[in-house]
Amino acid sequence: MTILAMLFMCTAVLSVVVLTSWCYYRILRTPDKPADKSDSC
Amino acid sequence: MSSNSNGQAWGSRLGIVLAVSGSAVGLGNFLRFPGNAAENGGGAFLIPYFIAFLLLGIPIGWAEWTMGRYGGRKGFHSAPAIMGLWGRGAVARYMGSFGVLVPLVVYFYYVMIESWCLSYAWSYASGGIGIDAGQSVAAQVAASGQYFSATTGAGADGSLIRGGWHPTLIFWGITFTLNLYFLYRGLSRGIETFCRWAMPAMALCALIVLVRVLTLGTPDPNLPDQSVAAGLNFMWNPDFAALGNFQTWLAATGQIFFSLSVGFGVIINYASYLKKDDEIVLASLTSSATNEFFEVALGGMITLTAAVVFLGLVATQANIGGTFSTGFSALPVVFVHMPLGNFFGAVWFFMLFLAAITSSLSMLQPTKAFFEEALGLSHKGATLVVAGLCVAGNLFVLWFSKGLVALDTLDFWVGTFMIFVVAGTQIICFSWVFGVDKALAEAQRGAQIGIPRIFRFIIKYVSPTYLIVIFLGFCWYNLPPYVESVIGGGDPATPTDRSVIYAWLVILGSITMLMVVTAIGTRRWRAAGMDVDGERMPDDLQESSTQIGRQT
Repeated sequence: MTILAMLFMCTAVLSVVVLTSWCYYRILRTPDKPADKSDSC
Repeated sequence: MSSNSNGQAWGSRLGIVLAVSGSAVGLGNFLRFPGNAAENGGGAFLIPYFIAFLLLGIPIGWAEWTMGRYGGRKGFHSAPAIMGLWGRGAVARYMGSFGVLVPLVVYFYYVMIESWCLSYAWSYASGGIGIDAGQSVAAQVAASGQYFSATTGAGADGSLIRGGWHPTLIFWGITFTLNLYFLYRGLSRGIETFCRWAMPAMALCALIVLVRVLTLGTPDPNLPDQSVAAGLNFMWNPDFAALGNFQTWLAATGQIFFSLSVGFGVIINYASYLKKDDEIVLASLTSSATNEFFEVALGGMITLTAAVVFLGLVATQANIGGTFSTGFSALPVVFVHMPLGNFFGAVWFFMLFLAAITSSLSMLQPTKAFFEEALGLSHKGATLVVAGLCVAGNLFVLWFSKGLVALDTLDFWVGTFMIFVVAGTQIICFSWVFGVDKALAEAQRGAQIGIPRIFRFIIKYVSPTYLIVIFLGFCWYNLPPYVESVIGGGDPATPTDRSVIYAWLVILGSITMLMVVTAIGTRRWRAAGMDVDGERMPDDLQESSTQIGRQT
């Protein structure tokens, strides 16, 4: 396996893993808002 | 989260994120992406791929989530009504009916592919699909192709239905019933509950197969070129010359575009069940990121690596031409040679089944919502109408199975061409008709992360232009060969396959029906005093858009 192939693979995989983890971290640490009945106009 | 539509609502934010992710993650992530990348520059393919993700995937995703949530705020849940709202009139509304056409007609054939996956999983769990490992690789691939042909009925029209209960019919019955059951249970108790279980299960199955593939090493010391490193190298080694080829950019953009489920009419419907202040910017990004995780980190590491290890480079290159050839001809041969191959084959195809069912479930809900609000049907009534339409559509694809021509025709015109049309209409309505400042102000309501200011320019100018260029490129490269393959170059000796004609009748019939229902719905909505043409802008949106306009 060439170094360039390794570089591209690691960069791409790490990018999506970090992005996905960060997104779920932000979502899961914020509780859902309580129900609100007056939401349509 | 509360309901703003006759009892339909999401149970949690994570729930809708997983449901949208489930809709996006499908067979293409595992079967189409690796072949596409390997054929178009390997690692270098990821450059136009991520550019398209930034300039097209993420912006259109934000647009669609925003349009959906705003539509829900006005009491609408279907693409025609919501696009009429954003496009301020009948043209956008009737174009929006394609946003129901796409999920409905794609479901006609997608559930068949789903049933093939379940059928393969079952076959592997009960002893394999009967490929003789002692034969040459070419003979094994041919045997695998014959098994696929028998499973799909590709040999002759009606072969799945004539002559008793074909196993494919039974698996179609199971998958169809499962889809209908979760649809009938409703948004939170059905689709959301299933996706909350299925998405982690899918990731677990993929990780099991990934660990197995990456620990294969070099199974046959006499064939040192057939190793994990060689497989990864085949997939990821960059060929920068490919970046100078327009087709590479077309393939990368098409991969992102079709993979994320934008322009499919699903996200707009799902987001319409959110409250007006529910977060959507991070939710949209999370769904897109989840799709990328499955595609790049799992799909990009498993499929071709395993194929090279067991089939070698030459046979892999010869069999990565399409989703079906990779998934149902090449990979079954891989599992024959893999230690504990039947177990891993069963896990792999069950994972593909989960990927497919989370997508097919998302195709039913937009159609059901459309019939509910356009015709005033109850939840039960709309479910029955959708079930009836889908049975008819499935039977059509089941019967006209020869060469999978009917399936291909529906996929080309509705599952590919029409998605461009819907996404193009959406982004133009969002950024030009509604106005990009007001639209972004609406998107940022309740947002947990801000949309960078550069995206105002991207959404207004870059995304629509990019989409138009790619659409024209797609037509330029695909329409002439497609038309020639259908009409046989005009040679009377090779007349147009009648399946193509019937498939077109199905498409035109579906369009006509949806247009008529849209017309009926419009009358009903007007009579009910609803803001059909988006003329009544909420005051809060007016104020915040003015502020954004001043800032930029």
